Amino acid sequence: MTQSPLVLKRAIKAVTDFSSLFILLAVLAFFTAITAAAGDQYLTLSRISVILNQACFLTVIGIAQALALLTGGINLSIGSVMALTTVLWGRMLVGNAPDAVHYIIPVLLVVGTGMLIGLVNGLLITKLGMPPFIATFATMYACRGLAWLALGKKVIYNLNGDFRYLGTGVVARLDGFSLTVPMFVVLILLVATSFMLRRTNFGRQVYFTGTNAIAARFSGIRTDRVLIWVYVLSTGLAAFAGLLYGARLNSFEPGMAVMAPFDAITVALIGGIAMSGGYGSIWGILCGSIIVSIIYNGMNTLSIASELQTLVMGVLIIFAVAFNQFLIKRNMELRNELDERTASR
Amino acid sequence: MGKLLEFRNISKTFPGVKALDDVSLDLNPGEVHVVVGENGAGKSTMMKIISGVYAPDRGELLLDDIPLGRNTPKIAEQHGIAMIYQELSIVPELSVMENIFLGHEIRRGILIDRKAMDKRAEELLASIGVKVSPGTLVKNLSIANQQMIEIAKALSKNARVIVFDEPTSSLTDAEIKELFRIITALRGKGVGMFYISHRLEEIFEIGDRITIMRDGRKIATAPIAEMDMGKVVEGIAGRRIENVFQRHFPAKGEILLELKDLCGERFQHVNLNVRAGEIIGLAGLVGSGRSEVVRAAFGIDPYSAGEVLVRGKKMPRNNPQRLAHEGVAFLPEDRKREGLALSLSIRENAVISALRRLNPLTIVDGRRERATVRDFVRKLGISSPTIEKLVHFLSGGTQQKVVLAKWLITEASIFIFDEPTRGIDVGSKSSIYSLMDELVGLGAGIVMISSELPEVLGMSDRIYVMAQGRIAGEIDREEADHVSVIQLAFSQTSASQGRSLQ
Repeated sequence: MTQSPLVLKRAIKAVTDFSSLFILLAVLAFFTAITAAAGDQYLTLSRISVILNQACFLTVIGIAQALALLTGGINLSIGSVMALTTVLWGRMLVGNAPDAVHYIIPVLLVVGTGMLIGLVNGLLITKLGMPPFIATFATMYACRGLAWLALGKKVIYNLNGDFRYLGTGVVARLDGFSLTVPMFVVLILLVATSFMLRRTNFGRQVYFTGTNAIAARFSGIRTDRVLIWVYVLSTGLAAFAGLLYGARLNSFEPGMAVMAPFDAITVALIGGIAMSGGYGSIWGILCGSIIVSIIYNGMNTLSIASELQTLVMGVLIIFAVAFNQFLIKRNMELRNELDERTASR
Repeated sequence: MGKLLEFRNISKTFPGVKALDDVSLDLNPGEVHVVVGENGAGKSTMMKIISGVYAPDRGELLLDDIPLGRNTPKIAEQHGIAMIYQELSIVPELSVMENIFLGHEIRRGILIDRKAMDKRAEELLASIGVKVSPGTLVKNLSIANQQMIEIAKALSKNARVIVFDEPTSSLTDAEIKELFRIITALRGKGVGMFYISHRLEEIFEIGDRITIMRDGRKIATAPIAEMDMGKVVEGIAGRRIENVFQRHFPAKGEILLELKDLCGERFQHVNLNVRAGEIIGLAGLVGSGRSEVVRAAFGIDPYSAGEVLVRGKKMPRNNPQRLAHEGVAFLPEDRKREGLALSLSIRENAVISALRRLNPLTIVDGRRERATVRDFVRKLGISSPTIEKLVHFLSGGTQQKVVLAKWLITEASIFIFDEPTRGIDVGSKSSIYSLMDELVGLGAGIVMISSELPEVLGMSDRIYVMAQGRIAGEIDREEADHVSVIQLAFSQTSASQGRSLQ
């Protein structure tokens, strides 16, 4: 066997390993070229900072969705949970309330409530045997309804400044680039989830269950417990995303983030998470959210109508998923081939 | 009379593997041509070239002495080539008739002519002597009858060449007899058949000629009358295999696993036990409730009454993790579906049941994990260049060893093997047998379900035979032979007279 094809194979495998990264570069190149043709510079420091900042929220809901997708499930309740949990406890976060408690208390209550709803999701799926799609579809409606019941047509606004720092705070500025608090929060979240999935017993069980739930049961994994925890974490993260979202908009309202579960699916799919479960890396989510963020930002820069933007997203999802499915298969084959060759030399 | 089908100097290379190397062989009308070889010897590739799934790199395929040229599954089908695969390709929710004519329905105008199809289906079934009504839903049939439907389907397309790929791997002895009767009938009709099997006993019964494959090459083709078992095994393995069932008999210890009066949907009042140092064979026909009993005992399926005791301790129901925790290991019959996560690596599969033991603080210790897995890969002789190889790409025998590694790493001491060697090549088979022997030597107890009588007789200390959901009898190694086991397996128990197969 000659050397050059091996090197080539390695290179192709690297591409398939980091497929999302290559999509990211392609999208960047595309907008840079178009903007350059119009005589403008696309990649400015301030624009990068805007894109990354927008990507933060998408990353959080993307991780929440990815957890469910990795087990072969889905979480449609993300947006409604964002609304319900923040609407329930949001009043405690309003600016100059005389009896104000420290904002950490409502933050914990919001996340705790989210986890509780996640427990309901998990129990519906495991104990009642509902498909995840149906279970979270139901809680999606139920939570939205409860949110409207709780607050009616009002809006909670003028939030506590200290709390808003979580979603808008700037740590440092460098020319036009702002290093924001959400960026740090999301980075910590990514490192923590990645560690949990790759380096803990629980994470191993998540991947194994996602790949083959039947074999997982035959292997003595408590699949019910794994699934329940996944939905507790996923839905709890959704509630946390609601806080980030509200902090940036300076308000909470029952109708917020209706599209969030779907944006989260987009981010996860583009980030290389397989809908069938058991395949994908949490760092792909970061790529996925930056890609989506660039596309929205880029289309806004080119002042493309929002209807058209939705269409573009649809087409993009088709391409991303087709591309990823091809790559997953190819990646496995290449990996196998390289294993064989390394051994035979 | 000309040849029905001929392989002329065919080679086929896959990246890194020479799957077929200059192979020539032929098939006469009305002949059963047996093809044997280990997994990966090239049998499947050969059959896939016949059925048009693969194109050969070199050489040609001739049909009726005429080169076929381009071949695709569609073209092969038009030429009357049909495949009966190990995994059946029928639709359980459709009727027998609908399955037979799936994709080539008889039409009258634009409408499907159900009446004509019913009639034709009945003729076809009668011609091979199968007593099944065309209206029956296929899911209600036994595996054996489902296979007959596949054969009827092939005949409905006027098949002249039929390839049987491991047709008997999930059939009982009685069903195999029935299949052989049909094959004999087909032979009389001038149909040429390739017959691939790992069960060497049966090829002498059914074959006319035999071709032995090894590593993509043809080792020999000869009339079956000129071969014997020793020559075949030697040809397959490339070495002489003395006795595959090597057993040592250690002193028996305490009772490790005991089922007391276990009752469930498909089995009643099952009592059995296994001691340390013992291999228990669980024999019986397919559908006699063997698998169902052990699945329930391990906690996969529910049971309605009775107890499961591990070392005298009563186990909860529906709780496989508890059983696993108590040192019980389950090696399911369907490895791909129930034993492995195919798209994960050997390493990720091998440690999955022992995570808590390996990483008590829940954080994965990568170095320890790799060392442990490498250790077991070496001990079990798992042939793979790296432990990162995806299980998907391993052969059946190697996959079974990965499942075994998974349980050995948990330090299990009670092993339930459900058909441990099904679909596994001869070489891996004998290494699995010697592993089982080694395990009981170390004080483990094994329950082995098997449909292969030689395996049951060769490996077991004691044999429980099930018939219609009950233990029909228990036989010691010394008294067990083919006759005594088969008699019990076919025995009718009065309480189960009411239960009949549809």
